[in-house]
Amino acid sequence: MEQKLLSNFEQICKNQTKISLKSFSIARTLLVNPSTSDQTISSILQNLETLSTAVSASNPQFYHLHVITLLCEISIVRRHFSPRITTILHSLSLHCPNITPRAAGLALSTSVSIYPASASNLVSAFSEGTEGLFLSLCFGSCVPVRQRLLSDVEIFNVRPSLLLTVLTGFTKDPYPYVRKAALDGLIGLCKCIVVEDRGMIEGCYLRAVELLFDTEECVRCSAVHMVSEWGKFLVANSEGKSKRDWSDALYVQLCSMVRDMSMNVKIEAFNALGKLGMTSEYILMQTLSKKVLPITKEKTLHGQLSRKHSNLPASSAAGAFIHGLEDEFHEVRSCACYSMRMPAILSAGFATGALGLLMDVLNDDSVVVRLQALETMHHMAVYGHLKVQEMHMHMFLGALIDMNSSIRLTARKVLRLTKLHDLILFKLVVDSLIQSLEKYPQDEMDALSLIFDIGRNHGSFAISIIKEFFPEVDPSSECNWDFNNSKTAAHLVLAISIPLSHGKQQQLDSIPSIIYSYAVTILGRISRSLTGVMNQDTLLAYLSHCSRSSGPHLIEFMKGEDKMVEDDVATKIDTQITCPVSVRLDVVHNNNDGDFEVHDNADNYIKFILANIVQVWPLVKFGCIHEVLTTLRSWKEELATFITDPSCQSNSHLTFTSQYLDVVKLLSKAWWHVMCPMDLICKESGNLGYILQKLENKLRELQHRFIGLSKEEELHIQELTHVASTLKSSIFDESAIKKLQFFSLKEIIFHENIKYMDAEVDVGDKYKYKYKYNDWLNPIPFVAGLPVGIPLKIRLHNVPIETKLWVKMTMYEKLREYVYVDLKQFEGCEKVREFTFMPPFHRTPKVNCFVLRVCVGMECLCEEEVDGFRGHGGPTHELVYLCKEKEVFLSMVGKKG
Amino acid sequence: MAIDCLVLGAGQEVGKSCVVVSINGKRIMFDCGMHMGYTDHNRYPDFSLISKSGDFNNALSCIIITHFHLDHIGALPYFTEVCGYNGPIYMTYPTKALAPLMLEDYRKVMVGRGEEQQFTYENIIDCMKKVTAVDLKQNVQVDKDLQIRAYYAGHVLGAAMFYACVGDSAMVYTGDYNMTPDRHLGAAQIDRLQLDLLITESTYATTIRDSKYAREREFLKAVHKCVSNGGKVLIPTFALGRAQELCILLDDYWERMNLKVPIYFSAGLTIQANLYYKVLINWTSQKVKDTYATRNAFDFKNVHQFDRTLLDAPGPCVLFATPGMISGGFSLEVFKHWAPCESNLITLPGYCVAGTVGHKLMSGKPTKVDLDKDTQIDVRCQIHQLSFSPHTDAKGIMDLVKFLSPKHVILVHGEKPKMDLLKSRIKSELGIECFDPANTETVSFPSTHFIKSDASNAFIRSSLTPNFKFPKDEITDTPSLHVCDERVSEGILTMGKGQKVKVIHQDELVTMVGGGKTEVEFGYCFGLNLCSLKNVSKEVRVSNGDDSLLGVLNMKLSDEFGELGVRDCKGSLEVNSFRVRVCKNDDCPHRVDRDELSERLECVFFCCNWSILDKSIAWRVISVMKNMDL
Repeated sequence: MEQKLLSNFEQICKNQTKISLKSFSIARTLLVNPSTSDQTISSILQNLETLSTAVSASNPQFYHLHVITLLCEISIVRRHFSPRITTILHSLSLHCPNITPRAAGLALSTSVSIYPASASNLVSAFSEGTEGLFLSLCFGSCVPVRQRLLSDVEIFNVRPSLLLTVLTGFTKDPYPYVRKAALDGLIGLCKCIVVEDRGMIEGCYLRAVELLFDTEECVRCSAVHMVSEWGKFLVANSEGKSKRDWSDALYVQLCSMVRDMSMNVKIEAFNALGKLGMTSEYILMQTLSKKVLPITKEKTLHGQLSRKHSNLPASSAAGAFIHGLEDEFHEVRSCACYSMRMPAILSAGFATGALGLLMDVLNDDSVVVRLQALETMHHMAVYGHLKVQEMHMHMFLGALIDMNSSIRLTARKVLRLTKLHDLILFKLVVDSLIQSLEKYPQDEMDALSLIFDIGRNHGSFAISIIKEFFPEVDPSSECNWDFNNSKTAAHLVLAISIPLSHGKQQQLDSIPSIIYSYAVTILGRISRSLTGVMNQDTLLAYLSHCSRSSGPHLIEFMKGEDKMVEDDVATKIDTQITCPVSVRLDVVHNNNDGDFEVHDNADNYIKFILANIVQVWPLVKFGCIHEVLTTLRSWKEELATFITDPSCQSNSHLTFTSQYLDVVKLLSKAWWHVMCPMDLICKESGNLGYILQKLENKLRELQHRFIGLSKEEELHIQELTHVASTLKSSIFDESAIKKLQFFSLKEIIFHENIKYMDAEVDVGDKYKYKYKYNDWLNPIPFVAGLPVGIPLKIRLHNVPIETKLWVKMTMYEKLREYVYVDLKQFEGCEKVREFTFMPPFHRTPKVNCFVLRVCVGMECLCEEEVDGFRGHGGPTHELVYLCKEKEVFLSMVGKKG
Repeated sequence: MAIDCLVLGAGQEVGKSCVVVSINGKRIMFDCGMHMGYTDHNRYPDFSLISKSGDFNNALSCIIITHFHLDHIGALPYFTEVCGYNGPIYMTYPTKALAPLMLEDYRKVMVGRGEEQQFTYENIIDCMKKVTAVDLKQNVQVDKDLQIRAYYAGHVLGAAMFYACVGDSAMVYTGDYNMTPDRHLGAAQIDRLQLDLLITESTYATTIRDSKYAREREFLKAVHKCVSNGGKVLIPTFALGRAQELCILLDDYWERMNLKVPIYFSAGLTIQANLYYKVLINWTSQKVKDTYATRNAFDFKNVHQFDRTLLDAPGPCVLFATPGMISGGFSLEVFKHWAPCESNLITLPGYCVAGTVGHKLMSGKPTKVDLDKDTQIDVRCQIHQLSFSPHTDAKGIMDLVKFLSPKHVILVHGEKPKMDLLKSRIKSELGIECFDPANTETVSFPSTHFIKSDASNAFIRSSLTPNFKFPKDEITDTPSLHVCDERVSEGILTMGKGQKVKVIHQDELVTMVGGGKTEVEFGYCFGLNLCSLKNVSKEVRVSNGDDSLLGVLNMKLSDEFGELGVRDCKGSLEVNSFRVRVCKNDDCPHRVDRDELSERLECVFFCCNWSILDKSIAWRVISVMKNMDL
């Protein structure tokens, strides 16, 4: 069939005097069928090539388009024909100058889109002409081609400076879709260029602002996006007061677009608003009120070029969020909810105002919008800006008995983080939770755990509720109380939470201890809800302890072995709660010499891994990479459960094994990439390079961060390093693979006394500076141009005194500084050395704030010297880093906010 | 050509909306309402102002009705059947369906009150037969020149804003509209149009309303609290609009909160109206449209028909009853039964006419209400006042005007002092001419009128290809980028005798006119003192040769205008189109201050020429040269 069609096709093509469309449809039929052989396609190409030159002779321009369309389709379906197609297209464009714009446009985009796969030398010849051809087609009179080329503008590799001019010009085109394409192109351009000229950025931004008033919806949509992107660009390129002015203007400009009539424009506007950061507080407050606030009344901001709207009154922002939240389309409402997150973080005042609106949104008819509103509240709660008041409670607690389970879940999520100011609120919450439990028993687990949490957070309120509740369950009161109902469960959980509450000086004695005995009767139910916090055994022990204690001060704990003050009960349980791992270990090895057994087990496990890892290697050679990776992963996970404190001696072995597993994993991956390539294209991609780089780093760490490695171990590591470098060279030189033919992983047995070098770095010295820790809210002050000292608290484990230690401070890739740490200056032993160090950072930039990434590294003295560091006064050898990079936040002195 | 806008009703007042607009020779009547506050001739607009002879069919091109409220449609049967108008009438489908109900209801009330009836039932039916129904965004060609189009206006079911254009003049009449959506109706929605005139309502010209959510919350909270305490809720409403709005709100809340308390509708108009809503889904809010496929939002789940026996049945319930102001009928009957009980709740509409029970309840907190001489009712129940309004607020009006940016705005349907405030805001904030004419006043202004012309091939060709430029803003010299696409400005409008108007490309002009190309050049000839020139550069050996003089000049100018490039052509210096040479001709036509300098021998004359493009450069050069003299 294939042959028949092909010969048919060739027949028609030969008959050059009368070419019909039939030939193209036959060719397409063949192309669409995936089982058509490459040979057939190749001969189709052959025919097309002759056809294209023949066509140019007889010159019916009509056929060019069909030939080129077909070529385009071939290039998509069979990518390996790309070089040939490029050649044909190239010759076509050379020999037929009077080709139609549509055909030329298609040829251009086809040849550009197959660029990476085709032969490089041909393309370079072609790409020189690309720019010119692109421009001439754009400036031609054929509008569809112009629109099409502009909408794919980024693939043509036109010089950015030229592109900026062309695209800005086309924003004035009379055809709306061309304007839209030009705007979209400019949006893309803004992300990938560096413009020095501020006037240029301003101009582009204002041009976009002008187009916000376009009559076409699609243009306005893109204009909103562009205003947002270029506005951010403009703000980033401004300094001082003008930065603030522009960011305010940008915010108000976008706010004014939320009153557009088109849904898409509104959505785009809110999406853009959600991404903006800095804005003046008064503008934020204005967005929450439809009435113009006195402070906004007279203010105007940077407007746009045309005389008509030459300035922008700040009152344009009035009620932007209110309008968004009561919009007709749920898409817009939900976007509006989302976009309130950022300002709610930045301004507490805004958060308070926004909360009132968001609470009302909980009455919305769309689930999506209600959910988004709750998520925004959760976000506010995370940043500590959620201040719930009694007037909100009706709506808020209504969400707890919502029909939709995800709404209920999210409402509980918010409640967990909510601080309740008085007993009335607390009572309302507990009552609503109980009501919700009665209505939706399926929520019990989460709801009870929430009650536990809020009980712990509001201990004193919980006590008074329990006091009221107790008479109801007291058997002496002779009421028929059903122990199995949700209300009792909820109250019992609340009672359990009280002794564990964070507040101090609880009046524990006022809680009748018998209540804990009641709790034991529904132990299963309670413990299921508290799985995340403690297991059933701990709970039982805790309950029995609480119920037996007669007085509040001296109570026993855990089988009468220890006597401790009640405050310590809380701390003891607290530590258990916060360290789930240790709880788990306790469960597994619940006897006195558990500690010993842990180590014993760990050692056995290490031995097991090291013995078996050798047997894994043949699997790698067979190409069963997935099985190998799964095995290694599960080993590593299990190993991780034994590691509690990396500085501990016995844990050094664990750490070593864990890192060794990483090395084997990476090696297997790299091996598989090189030895069993699926296809050649994959090999070229950066994936392998990335793996090999990671592998090298890991091996270097293995070699240098462990002290006390034996000769055999060092040899083993070096062998692996060689294998890695051979794999690397095999990318360019296939013969290198042969050298690896005989490699197989050997067993490694290591000796007792390895030590793991480690460093912990904390930023900020809590004694010297007022702030406790450093984050973006509490930055370290600096003066631009003057050096700034970064207070670091460094704790080193197992680092010998002769180690050459450096602190690396990176602002961005090219701006980094190294400071030498002379260990002899600090006290401490080799095992643990803790000190405060204040490295200076000299090249402070002229910005309001910036982030430094700080890291402690050790020079590998045995390796070759590296040139890259010279001249900066930095280390002369490669560094091995002893800790993870830490971010330090700095901000200019004397600028408030 | 001009637009004349004659306001027959709702000028600086609310009621009997009626505006007659003449636009490029066509005359359209927007709305034909009646005033509910009058019973005399003031009840209807003064139709005699349209045509003295009473020949309305020729005086008007068409009538457009925006929605079914009586103050917008009430006078229509009178105008068509009694005054005899027979021309086309346009309104939307829902308006056409619901208008007869409203008109008939009103007629019955009038007859019931014993007033003289203005039109009969047959009149209403005949009037409706003349109506053409239109759909949203449907282009309706009324006649060859006049085109109208309806846009969604919110407000009530079927309310529309109407766009009308005659040739190139276009206008929009909004009727009543709402810019914020309800539960059951959407917000007004319109395209960005090029308008000469916008006539907008201004009921709330100064009010700015808060979020509707707060009002909804208060309402739901009150109702929920009442029913959870076992009370009964009476919601007196009008049959159309608010009843549906509140019912959707409650039904939705009931479902969300899993409430089982029954909601009742008293029989009558409300149930009939619900039927219409169910059918006219396309005219409701987005949410109702979205969920329509699964469930019609007007098929209320928790709503049941009320039975009179349930009036004193125990247990909580919610009841919708007409009329809205408890002026009589069923809602008054229910009120008598439920008012004395403390746990019950009565919600009142935002506005009640004085004299009704609703009005008495609103004013203060009465404990007793006298129904008539004999009956007195103890009021112990709670009272909640609702303020849901289907009209846009001031901000909505401003937003709409800003969005449409018409050339002129006319405000109607509002109160005079508030309209004045809004008028001044529109003028000052948006820079748009604004009027608020009183009844029977006419406002006129020019309309847009385009002329058709031919275009030459060269002009069409040049218009097809992009031709944008980035001119420098020379006045302010700001660095900001300015784009202009000049392809249209390259055209020149020509009009030969007895020929059609034609646009040609500027390059074609010369060949078309047949004359040669003439350029205007400026000339200026002035004298300079030779001594001072010598002083300027002593190193140069000064001879009286002209070339060396120009050489000195060249040096000086190159210093000053280096960036423009000073060219030394034989015998003259050039900067762009500016040219200077030594002038030997004593009768040079460009020579200035001939008398003063002619006596002094040590004087050389320079003659300068330039074209208008380089005007500013030329004067700069000349001033530099003159300064050398000093």
